[in-house]
Amino acid sequence: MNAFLHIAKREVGILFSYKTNFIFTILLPFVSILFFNTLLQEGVPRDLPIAVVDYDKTAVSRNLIAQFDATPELKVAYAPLTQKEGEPLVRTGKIYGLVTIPNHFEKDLKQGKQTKVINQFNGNLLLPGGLIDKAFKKVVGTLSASVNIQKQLKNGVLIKQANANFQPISANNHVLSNPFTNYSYYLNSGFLTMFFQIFVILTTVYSFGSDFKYRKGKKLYKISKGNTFVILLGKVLPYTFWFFLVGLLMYFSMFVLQDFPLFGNKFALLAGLLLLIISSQSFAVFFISISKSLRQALTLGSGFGAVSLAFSGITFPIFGMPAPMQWLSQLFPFTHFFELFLDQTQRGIPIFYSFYAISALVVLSILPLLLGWTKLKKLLLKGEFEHRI
Amino acid sequence: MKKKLFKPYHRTRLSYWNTIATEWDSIKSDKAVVSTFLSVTLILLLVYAYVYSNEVIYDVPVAVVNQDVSKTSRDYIEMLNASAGIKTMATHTDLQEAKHAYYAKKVMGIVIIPKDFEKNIRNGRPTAISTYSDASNMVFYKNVLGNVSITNGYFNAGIGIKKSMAQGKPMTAAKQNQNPIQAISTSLFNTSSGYATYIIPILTGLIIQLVILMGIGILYGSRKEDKKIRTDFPRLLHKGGTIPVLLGKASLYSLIFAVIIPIQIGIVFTIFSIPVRSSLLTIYAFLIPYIFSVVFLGIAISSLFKRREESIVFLVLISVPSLMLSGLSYPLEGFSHFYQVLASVIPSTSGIEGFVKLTQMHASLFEVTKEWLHLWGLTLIYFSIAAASLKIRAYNELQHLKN
Repeated sequence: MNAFLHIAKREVGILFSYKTNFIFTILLPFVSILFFNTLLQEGVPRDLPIAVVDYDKTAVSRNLIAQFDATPELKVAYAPLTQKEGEPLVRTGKIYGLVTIPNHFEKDLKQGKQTKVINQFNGNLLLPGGLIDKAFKKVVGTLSASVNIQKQLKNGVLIKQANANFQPISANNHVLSNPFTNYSYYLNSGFLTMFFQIFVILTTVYSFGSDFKYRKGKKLYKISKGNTFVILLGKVLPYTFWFFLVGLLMYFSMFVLQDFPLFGNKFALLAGLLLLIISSQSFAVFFISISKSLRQALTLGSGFGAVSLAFSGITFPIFGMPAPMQWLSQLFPFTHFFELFLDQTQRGIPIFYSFYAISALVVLSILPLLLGWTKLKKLLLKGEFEHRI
Repeated sequence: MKKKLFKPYHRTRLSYWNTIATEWDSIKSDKAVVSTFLSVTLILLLVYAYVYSNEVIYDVPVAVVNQDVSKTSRDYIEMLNASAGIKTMATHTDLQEAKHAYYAKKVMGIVIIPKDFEKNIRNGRPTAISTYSDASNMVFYKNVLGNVSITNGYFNAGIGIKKSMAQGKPMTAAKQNQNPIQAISTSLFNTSSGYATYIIPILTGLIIQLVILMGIGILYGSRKEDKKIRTDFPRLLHKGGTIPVLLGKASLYSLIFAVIIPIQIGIVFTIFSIPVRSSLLTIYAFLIPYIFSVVFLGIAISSLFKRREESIVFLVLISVPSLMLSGLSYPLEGFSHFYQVLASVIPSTSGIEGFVKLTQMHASLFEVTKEWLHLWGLTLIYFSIAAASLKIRAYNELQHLKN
């Protein structure tokens, strides 16, 4: 116990006497929380610029343009005279979509002929491209419906019946979890927690690794009288505790300041946070024990932390990855934490269904330690990394 | 007169080539730098491309609660099932059952076909399909909602057209009546909205910045630890002595990437069939100011680090925010003014944007002039900061030596 307190005290001392440790452990986590909380404050993109080429130049076409402009997602920013003039605007990224209203648009409509409106949107930018496509179809669909219904009214059909004729089946869409499709809820849930995880991994690697880089391993060994477990606890627990506090603040920034949806079990959420910290630290210790230098351990740790975002399925679902990658994704604690996080915040499903995620986190907390244990012991005995740099 | 001009020129030239040789030697002999270059530029890019290689999500499982159990409802389910994006799972009889399947993540959405669905349609009364889609993952949400809407649209049109035809209108007229204005939406560049096609060019652009900053940070850090900056680049403290050193380093990294970029495009882009819509020469021409500005930025900020490890930690941390700030994942219009300014001083913002426009959006070099000039501007700014910081560092080492 004494040895544990000695090492833990020494760790806290290091934290406050070395500028680097202080900055990475205490300052930067807060900077990252502040950054992500303020970056996507609007949450839903509005007024994405498009250009409309109006070959028709009539009251109806102008009305359509006004309706595009009135849609929250769109802003008619340019009115090129020809299609050719509009194309470079797409290529240079000034607009996300180029809408063309053909000649005789009004005339065709009045004569009862079918006409068309064309939207060429930038499919390379997935998010704005998709939003523009959706908004465009909605505006044109509404106009088209109104033309259809007016025609029916002129034939003497009642308005109610005309509506039912045009659209016998309407859609009742219920959007679960994130009803406003707020991108801040969606992306920040992932980015904030992923960054938090990187901080946990990197600080653990750094604190452990600096001791080996500067040949302090033997000193630790002496303090603890050769008890690897005590060294591990003494070095890691202060950070576990500290990052749990940081995690609480992160949760506070999400659920209180930013009003993220929180429908699930709050205890499971806290347990998940604690397990994420412990499993990340466990992986960090594993990286230390298999590395030949501090630099290598840091590269492994930061690589592992950064790739975990891709494997969590937030941007591209795990469901759609090739099978070997699906298996690989299960090795990342963040994948399971994120699953648990979404289940217990946005989806709000019974805790029973999060059992798998929690047990996976527990397994991933223990497994890396078991794998790295003998190597870690050897490293402590040796007191330093194989290579200095 | 001739001699007077020749001497400084000769020394500058010597210093330039000396810098290139020294830097190349330290890159070659530093295993860390070589492994960073190889693992990040090729292996990381390959892994990402493989993870996203399916490009588009198909067959998202959806539960159908069929409360009608009629022929029309079964037709509807068939149509739903035939759409590429979703796959209907076992039809449930009540919502509770479907809910459990949703909790267990066997399905990502629920579609309810109401009672009297067929009867109402035949009577000309309105009826409604209810969908529940999970927006905690935008990809699933879009797939479920989008495919149900499309199916609804076709199903509605089918009914409407049949009704008009029943009244004696010919097929074409019925079709035109149903939908007076066709909305034709064409997706440009990345036609199927594939994820790998979207993210890999962006990552390729970002990796240039990440790798150069890491390489410079690690090399500079170890020189600083060993106090070798002044001895490695002996002419630093002379008047104008930083210029050839900085230019030498920038040229070396440009040359390295002149080799790496064709390999990346040749291997990763080809294997995963990601289009490249510009010539290599254009890409080179565009990347020169990008690489230069990143090199100078690297030298400018590496004076902040005392140990070589610190730069790795720091750079990993700024790589994700700089990806976010590039405006390609979330449109720049959605950021506050502060972040737009912040984004504009990071080279990767313009660098990635220009690279994506060139290779994906078929832009010519002329059309990315804005980004190109912006990068040259950043190059100038970071050049002066880097020159100052190098000089200070070398001076400090000299003082240290004297004491």
